[in-house]
Amino acid sequence: MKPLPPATTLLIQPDGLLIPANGGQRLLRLVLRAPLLPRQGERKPLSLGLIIDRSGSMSGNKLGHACEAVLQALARLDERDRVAVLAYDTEVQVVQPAGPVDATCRQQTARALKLLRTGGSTDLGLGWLSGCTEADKGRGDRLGRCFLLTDGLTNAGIIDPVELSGHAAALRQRGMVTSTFGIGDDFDEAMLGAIAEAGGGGFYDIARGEGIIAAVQRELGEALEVVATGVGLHLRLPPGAQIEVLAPYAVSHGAAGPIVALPDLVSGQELSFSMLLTQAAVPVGTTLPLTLTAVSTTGTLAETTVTFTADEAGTCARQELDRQVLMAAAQAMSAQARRQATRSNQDGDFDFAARTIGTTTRALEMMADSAESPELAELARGLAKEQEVYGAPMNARARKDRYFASTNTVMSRTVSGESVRVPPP
Amino acid sequence: MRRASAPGSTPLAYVHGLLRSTSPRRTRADSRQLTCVDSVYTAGVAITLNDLAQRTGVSPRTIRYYIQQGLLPSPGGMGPRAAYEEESLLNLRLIRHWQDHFLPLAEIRARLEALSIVEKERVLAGVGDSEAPSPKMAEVTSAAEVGESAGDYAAQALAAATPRERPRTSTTVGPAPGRSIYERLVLSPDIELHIRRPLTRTANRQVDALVAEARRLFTTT
Repeated sequence: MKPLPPATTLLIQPDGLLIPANGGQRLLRLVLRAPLLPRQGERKPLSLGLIIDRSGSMSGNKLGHACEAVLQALARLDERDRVAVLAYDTEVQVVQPAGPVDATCRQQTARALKLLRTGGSTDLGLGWLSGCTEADKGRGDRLGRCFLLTDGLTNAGIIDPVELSGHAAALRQRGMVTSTFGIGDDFDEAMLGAIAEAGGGGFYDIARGEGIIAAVQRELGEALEVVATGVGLHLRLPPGAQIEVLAPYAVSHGAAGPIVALPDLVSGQELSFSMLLTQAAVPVGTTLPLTLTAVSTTGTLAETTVTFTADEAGTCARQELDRQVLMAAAQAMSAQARRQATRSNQDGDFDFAARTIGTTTRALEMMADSAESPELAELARGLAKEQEVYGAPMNARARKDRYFASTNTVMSRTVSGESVRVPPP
Repeated sequence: MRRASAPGSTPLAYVHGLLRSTSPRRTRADSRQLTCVDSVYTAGVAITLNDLAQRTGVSPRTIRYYIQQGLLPSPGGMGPRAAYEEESLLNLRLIRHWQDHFLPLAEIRARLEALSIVEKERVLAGVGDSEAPSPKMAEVTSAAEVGESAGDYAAQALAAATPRERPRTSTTVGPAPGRSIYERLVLSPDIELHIRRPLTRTANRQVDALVAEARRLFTTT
């Protein structure tokens, strides 16, 4: 990969520059690259809420590893930062009230965590929202972060995933980003994934208790290297055009066009995703500019424009298509189909899960055929082989592995759930 | 996938576009298989559960759940021959639309009850959409513009939980006791409206009218 430039860059790749004048579509791949954090000492201070599920199922080594993860997180912070530590089952226990991370805070937290015992059911909403309340106290201009560690299905309090996701989005809007850490085989991956997606943070699938510390450290490391917050991609579309984002980022309608809400950017991050542009009929020869502007709370990060031309359908059909762009979109479609199929499988709706995979497989076959692309054909064959797997009962671990992997693909994250980074030169 | 446009454009539609613009020899796949995302439905034709699922991308199990929750009308008949009305199709699309905006099911139910079929079609067509600004719609608004801290929001979200849902807390952190479910609507950064749910269909319409008028007033002054 190329060395990073000193500022954010925005690259847009269309699969072709000609659009049928009688109306047509183009796929685009967008790549947003963040600059490196100038110096570690210039990082933004954090106000971090660490929330531990202490329900009965956390007994054994899971609670111990979660407590150790908290202590190691505190060891990485300093007096610029604030932290609050809470534990919950159907009640909330404030392990460490919000305050600066100093030696006293670390000692008090360590003592309190030693006394922590597992309890009853899981009221995730209570624990998480209480944690956000506490972590927000005295936050000031610090970055708000809430890490939710849980191993079970929420079975008390607010249990509607849509409602929880709505709260996550609202909290993100108010500066509190939520990351979720699912531990073991019994948590609801779709729910925790949705909370993190709406909340702007990472989602981590942790198969065994031993993995908790590493996952928390990875997410904390990203929070300590944020270079841009409140990031949005503003699109100015050609007249008569519509856009669809092939990734689970929220889209709103601004005065000048759609706005895609993106997560905070971390040092050296490369964020990429695909989009589908649909253009209404226009006269042959019309130029169709599409302008994308990446903005953050501090102003414009980068801007770029791609200009399409309307042409006869036959001419458009003969243009050479960029196979890298097609492949990126096909991978996004595959990953999204896997996510949907996983949810249906989780619901016990195996037939629907298989059909979801089958439909996307056929779509990929058509793309491969039309673009005469062996790579796309191979992708379609690979997906076809999975139809049987999703169409039968799947054990919880296998299902979580698949959900996590496909989520990482659509969210432009690595296999371990971290943001993709360009190595420093 | 997040849509910033009216229903109808999908990655699969792109494939249709490719097929239209290429020679017949390349179109060996069966395009009828792509109808699961077709947004067109035929008036007056009975719809089966599988049809409904295929057309909307919502699983049959979830559809049955929505019927239980009163979000969809019950079908005529039982078992595989159960026939669903067009309104079910509209409702499912609206449910997905509003879920994309993170509205809770209770709020979605209230909205569906308050709309006629024609009004639902208008909302789906993007005409006269009465949806309130939602977290998603305002997602890229800066925290400073929201006018309420994350802590206040979280505390109020907890307080809005039903008494059945509200658990005990062993610390000062947590919700205050209460008996009713109130929905909080922000009319402007400084003014809120609290509505006790559920309301009657008539009251829902009145509230919608009140909110629309209030928002118009506050955005023009």
